[in-house]
Amino acid sequence: MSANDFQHIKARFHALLDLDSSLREASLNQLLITEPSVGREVQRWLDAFDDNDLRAEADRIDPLLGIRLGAFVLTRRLGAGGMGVVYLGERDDGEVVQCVAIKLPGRLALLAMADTRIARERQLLASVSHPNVARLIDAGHSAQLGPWFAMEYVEGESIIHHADHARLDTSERIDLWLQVTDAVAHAHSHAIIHRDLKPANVLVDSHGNAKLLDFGIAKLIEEVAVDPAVTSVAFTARYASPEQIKGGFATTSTDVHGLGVLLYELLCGAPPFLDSGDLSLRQSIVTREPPSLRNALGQLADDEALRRAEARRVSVQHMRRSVDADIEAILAKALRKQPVERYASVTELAADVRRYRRGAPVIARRATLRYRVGSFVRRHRALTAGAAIAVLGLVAGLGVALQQRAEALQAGERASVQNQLLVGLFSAADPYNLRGSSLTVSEMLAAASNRTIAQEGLDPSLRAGLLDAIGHALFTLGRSQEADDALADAQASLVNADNAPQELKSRIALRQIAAGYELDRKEQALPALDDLWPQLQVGSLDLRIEALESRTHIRRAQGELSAALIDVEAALALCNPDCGAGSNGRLSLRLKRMDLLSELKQRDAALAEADAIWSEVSGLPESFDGIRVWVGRQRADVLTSAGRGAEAEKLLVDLAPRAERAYGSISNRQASMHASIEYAQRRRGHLRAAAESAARSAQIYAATLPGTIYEAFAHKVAGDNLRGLGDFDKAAEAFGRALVIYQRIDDAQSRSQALWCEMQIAFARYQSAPGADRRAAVEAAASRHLAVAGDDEAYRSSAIAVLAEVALTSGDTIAAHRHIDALSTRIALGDDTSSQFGLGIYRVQLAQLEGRDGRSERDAVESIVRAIGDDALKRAEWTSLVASEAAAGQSDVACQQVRAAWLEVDPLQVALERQLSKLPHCR
Amino acid sequence: MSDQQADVTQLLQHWQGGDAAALDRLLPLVYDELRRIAAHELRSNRGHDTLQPTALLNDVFVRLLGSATLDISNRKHLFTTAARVMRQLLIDRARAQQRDKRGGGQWQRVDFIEAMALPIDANTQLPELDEALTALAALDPRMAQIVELRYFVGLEVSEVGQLLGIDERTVYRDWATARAWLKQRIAD
Repeated sequence: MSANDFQHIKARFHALLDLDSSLREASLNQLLITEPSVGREVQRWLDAFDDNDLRAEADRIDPLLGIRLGAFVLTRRLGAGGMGVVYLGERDDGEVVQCVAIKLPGRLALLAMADTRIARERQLLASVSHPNVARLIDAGHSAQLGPWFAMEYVEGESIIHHADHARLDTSERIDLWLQVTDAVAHAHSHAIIHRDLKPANVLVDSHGNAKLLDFGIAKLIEEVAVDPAVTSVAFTARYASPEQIKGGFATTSTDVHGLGVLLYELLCGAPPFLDSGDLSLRQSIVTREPPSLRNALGQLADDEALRRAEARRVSVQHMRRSVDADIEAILAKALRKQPVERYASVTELAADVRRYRRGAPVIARRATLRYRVGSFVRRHRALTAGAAIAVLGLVAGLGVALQQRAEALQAGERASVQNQLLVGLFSAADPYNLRGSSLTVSEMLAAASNRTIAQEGLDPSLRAGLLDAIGHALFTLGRSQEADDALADAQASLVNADNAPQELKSRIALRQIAAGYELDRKEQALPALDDLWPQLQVGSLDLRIEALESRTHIRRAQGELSAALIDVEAALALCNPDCGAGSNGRLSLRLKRMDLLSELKQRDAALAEADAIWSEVSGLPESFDGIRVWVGRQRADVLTSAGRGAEAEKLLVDLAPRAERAYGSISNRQASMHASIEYAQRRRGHLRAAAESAARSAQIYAATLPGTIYEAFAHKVAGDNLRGLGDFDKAAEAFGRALVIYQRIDDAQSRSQALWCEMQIAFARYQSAPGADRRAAVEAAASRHLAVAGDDEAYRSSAIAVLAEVALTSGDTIAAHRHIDALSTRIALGDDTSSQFGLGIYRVQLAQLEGRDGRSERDAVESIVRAIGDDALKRAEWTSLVASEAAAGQSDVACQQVRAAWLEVDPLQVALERQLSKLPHCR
Repeated sequence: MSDQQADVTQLLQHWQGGDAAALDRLLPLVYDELRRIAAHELRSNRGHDTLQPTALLNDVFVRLLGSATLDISNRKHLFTTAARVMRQLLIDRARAQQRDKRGGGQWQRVDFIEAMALPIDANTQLPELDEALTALAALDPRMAQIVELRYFVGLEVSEVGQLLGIDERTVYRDWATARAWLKQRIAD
């Protein structure tokens, strides 16, 4: 017989057992006709079957029945628990019959010191006297059976069964639950913790009174940590608290959790976690957020939902609809994983439930906000700013990276909660709705910060947590001063918070150091981090990782790349190795390491890391496309700086459809994706394609963030590309669009940008049709720009380059000499091959102008071109220059080379036409 | 501390440290002790209804261990292993008795089963039961486990239910079904 056959026969046999014995034969005869072989086997079983085996043997063979303990005779076995067995005892003194429940050491209480426990329970029970606790009646010690005690016998059923059978509505269920709460609060006031609150331990008698039973594993509060045996005992996992499962100490907060589970089951019909699904029950209790009542009820099968609704005298729709956010918040607070985050006492929990029932605001709602902010910031320190940015629609530099991390969250349910939270937190109107207004994101954050400070009656800890979140968001936006201010306010708020967790204090301190480094506290930052380090050892790992990230950042900014690499390695070592590629913190650290390796010119290591990260995220499901795109973009950067621009460009172009699916076609992220593609294309010298990407990026920003620096920046980039192509009029138009936006924004940075745009417009006009007037206009614009550019090397250099180029094309060798020399001192012999190339070209042109041989200048550029790899633009420019030199371009080969080179830059031939126009004999 | 006590302590530590095989070596030592207690009880206290086997096990462990306690999560493992070891002990003894027709010796099988209040019918042929139980385990492991825990450790239905995490009704049905199946199988 196979096991499958056996199970089939067993099922048929069990079906027969469920029938009354008189009906079995008829049913068996039926079976013998429909399934003869199965029927015959069932018949054999049935012949050997003894009906007594189905009956409780306690009724038949229990040797304890009839035994006398004190004044009582044991008459019936009521049940057995982990710690003891309970019998019904009767006292018959001739007048009245008194029934009691007698508890003895249980047989299964192996090695758990059952005797001691029974004695303890008796002791504890003796000190509790409450109408909702089964009272102690008598106690004694039997030589054979050990200690025993008799308590009030409650003839009733468990609280859940009672509520269903009596069809209690929500309000009546809460009444019943409040009785239990009173009993537990009473026990707490006598320093007794129950530790095993579950439906089976709460019986309801015929008068509707709830009675709390079984203090079998209860303990006295002061016993904590004295007797380990007291803390590590059997409990019912389904109703256990996370700290019990983890083997930690039980406190009154454990009972708060237990009452939370009881209320949950009363309202929902099942406890928060059942033993099913991918995680074990124990794991779920420790790691998972309890499902909301709304979800739990919403996911019931129709018939089960109907059963539960009928047990509450309501319709299914009403049962599901009537769950509101207040009760969810109360349950969430009672069921927190961390005891300190729950209600401080059973009394507080009961008070909030009473508030809920009379419709008053519940404190859990406020606490939930704090919890969310707190745990959000704590657990997703790196994501905080990311989510804020996602909400606020920022795209720039670091913001881009953080934003991608926020996307990973969107897969999870947490994201929407947090986004909602942040929206609420900052009370911002639609963040994309910045049209023409002067309200910047950081001003919004600053406003939120002011509101937080001004809000009355806010718990100081909560205030500090909010200010910390705002400060951190401002910091990642580069608004260090405002961030520092908000963090200082958070710090000040902590002074009034006696309940503030140490972790919050450490976090604020840590972030103040980070912000301080960006301000005038550079010197102190590293020593301060070292001082703070010991305090971070007790709190969450995340803080230590954040501290190491800060060190990485500071060291990198100080140019100590190797030291930064060590720090980032240390941070990575702290990251849970179980985290997969989808884990943002770890991923972002690995990307940082990759960057550092790339900067340290350990290109092979950087590429290997980039490939490793890439293959890790490649395996993620489609819902992780956001992360894939984010990683892909950074990998493209590494490829580009390793001279593999072609691969980078291909990678990004391949990613574009994924990005569009993940982000939507009209979104800031998609716009910034186009900007990335544009950059790769420009680095490759594919100016036509780059110009199109820039135009697309600008087009999207014009829809999503119109009138902002993002739209302006995209126009500027488009202008650059168009000028590279030789389409000077269109370039001037694009710069003009950027200029209008910068002028409207009118802050210090934008004013400087506006002057830069004016210079570029003047320059494009000059290039379009060179002339003395236009040259003068360029020079005037350049000097205006130089006057405000300050110390910004890149901007100063670009202005001088414009002046040099104008001087060269005007044949003004003296001015050209001066500007090229100025440029030379700015562009050190470093790694910036682009600048080196530009400078080299100017030098060759100057030599041409001056009729010099220029061999050494040409050799210099030649070597740069060889090192540059696959940059089509530079190759084309160089080829053109060489061709124009080659006997005034009479060589056909040179013409072919120029044509091929420029076609790669600009397949639409605008640039080609322009180059060929300079070489008339090539036509 | 006697040598045996030292062995037991060490084996217990190994077992709690995750060495499952240590329990196999531990339980025969424990059962030796159990036999001594049972024999003593039977001699001095004939007529006492039962010696609760789990209480006995408890006594033995407490005596051997002094005040040390066991991790309660190992309990299921302890009982299922105890059932297996006990089964082996009883079967071995029964086979030895079949070979040695003089029987009895210092230890009567029936005495022990009675002393431990094991619900095994007096006229059960243990080697046949053993064989049938092995066959049952191949068809329905849980059923066989329930029988082992009931027969060889003497647990009650409610206790088996607690230990295996299944409800009492299921245990009763499986138990009754297994009894019927074993009976018809042995009768063949």
